[in-house]
Amino acid sequence: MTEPTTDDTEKIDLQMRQLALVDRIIGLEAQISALKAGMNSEALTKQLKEVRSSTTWRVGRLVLWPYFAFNRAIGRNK
Amino acid sequence: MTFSLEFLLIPGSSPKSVERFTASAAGATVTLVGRDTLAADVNAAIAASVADYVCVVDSDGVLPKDALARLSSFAAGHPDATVLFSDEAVRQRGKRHPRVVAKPIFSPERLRCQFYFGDLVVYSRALVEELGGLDASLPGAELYDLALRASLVSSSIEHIDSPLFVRPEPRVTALGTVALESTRRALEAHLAASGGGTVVSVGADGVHHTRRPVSGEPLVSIVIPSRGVHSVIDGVSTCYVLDAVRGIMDKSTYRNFEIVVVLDSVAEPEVVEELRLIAGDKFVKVDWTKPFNFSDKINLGAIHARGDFILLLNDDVDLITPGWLEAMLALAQRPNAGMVGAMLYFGDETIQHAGHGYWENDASHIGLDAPHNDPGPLDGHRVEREVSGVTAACAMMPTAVFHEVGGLTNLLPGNFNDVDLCMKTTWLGYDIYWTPHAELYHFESKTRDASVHSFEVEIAWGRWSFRMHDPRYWPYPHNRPPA
Repeated sequence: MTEPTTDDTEKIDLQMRQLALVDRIIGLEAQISALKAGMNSEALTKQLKEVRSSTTWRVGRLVLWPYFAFNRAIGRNK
Repeated sequence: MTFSLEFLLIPGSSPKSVERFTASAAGATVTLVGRDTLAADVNAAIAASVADYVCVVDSDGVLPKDALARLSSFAAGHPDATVLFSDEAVRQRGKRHPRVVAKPIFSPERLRCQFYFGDLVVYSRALVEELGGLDASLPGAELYDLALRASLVSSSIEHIDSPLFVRPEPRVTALGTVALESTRRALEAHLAASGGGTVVSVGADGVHHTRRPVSGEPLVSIVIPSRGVHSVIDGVSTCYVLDAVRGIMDKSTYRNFEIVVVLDSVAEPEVVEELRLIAGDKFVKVDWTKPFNFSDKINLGAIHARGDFILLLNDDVDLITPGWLEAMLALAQRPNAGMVGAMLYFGDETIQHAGHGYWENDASHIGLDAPHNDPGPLDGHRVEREVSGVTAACAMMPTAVFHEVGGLTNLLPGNFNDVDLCMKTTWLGYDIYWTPHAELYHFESKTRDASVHSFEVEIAWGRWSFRMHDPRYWPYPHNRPPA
């Protein structure tokens, strides 16, 4: 059996801190990417909102209203 | 740009099948080739062809309605792709809708174990010509051989995650003696041209046992965190780490390893003494005196490790395959390898782990709870393959990669630290592999209370939520939700 000596405790602590530091950097990079991905979906939500408030959408809904009403009445499109 | 595709059609079992296929492929050129003279016919047809793409296909299947349009659109969006393959659908007797066979993306290590591309493989004609067409000396394995050779030179092989071919059930008949011999020779040539390896066996069912070689005899540091105490399991006093180390010492055929055991301060002196007796000079004792943090315990062990490769191992395991280290090391030595995982079973013989699956924002184990011999979808439990992640309960990494990714994050002392480790490893561009040829029991209880804390979810998903649906290598939902 080989047993590490304890006189290099400082060196080991340093290596542990180094590992943790590398981990944090990669973690932060990942978080930034996660936030960007989240922003992308927010951007999509915003776009969707814009589409829904457009005249084309409103006119389309108005024209198709009887169709949706009929579907609701017969139990489709819950 | 127009998409020109020529199908080289092998007549199927019924005379009408040619008509059916040709009708489904309206818009593409269809040329008949003989099954018994496949290579000669295909090569002649390709020499005479003016199409940009060619596809050798069996007329027992058909193309669904918009397959050609989808192929065309995909090819236009991937101008560098020289090989395209897709998911397939299988018609089921008595059922209205066919069953979809989803496939992983191009996975070169998996491809040497099975021709999973399937029946509809579209090649750029220029690539096939560059490769010299089909090899007539490999009857019955011409198409697999073509895919293997293409995989070595193609700039891009793309998977289309949509069923563009519908075939009847059952699947093709078993490979005959001639085809098996051809397959063996094709695989031997492929392994020789791609880093070496051995064909252990070829299977009539299309699953082939091929292995990469171990290069040299590097030192492997097996890092095991343990409390180093006895506990009563099913009425019997048991010390997991003693059993695990004994199993490794007694059974492992690869002998250049050290066992770094990171022991809590509560470790029993007699356990330490027993470890010394069992492992001798292979035993490295590392003391852990701080509060519990699995990640930091592993990291501390890794810092004391002297090997070029680190094997992270839980103490509640029992070795099944004596050649486990060779199987894992061979893959860990692949160029760009970052991590390799093993096949783990619960004590009741059901599968505990055949890789990590990340599906719809959940992380779980591939194969979880499946019976011991369950082949998995597309025989995925039986073949070495690329995977998105593996459990740290048994995972080998090149030591340099372990340090490059910052080891296991100590922000996650108990759960998801292996998910994070895998994510970091692939984030830096390394590949992860899984092998069924390193088998161990992992006695982690099936019903254990994982006690997941909200902060653990916040940290792991805060980092990686945008990658928590990854169907690239395992396009299937979990067997059951993660515990």
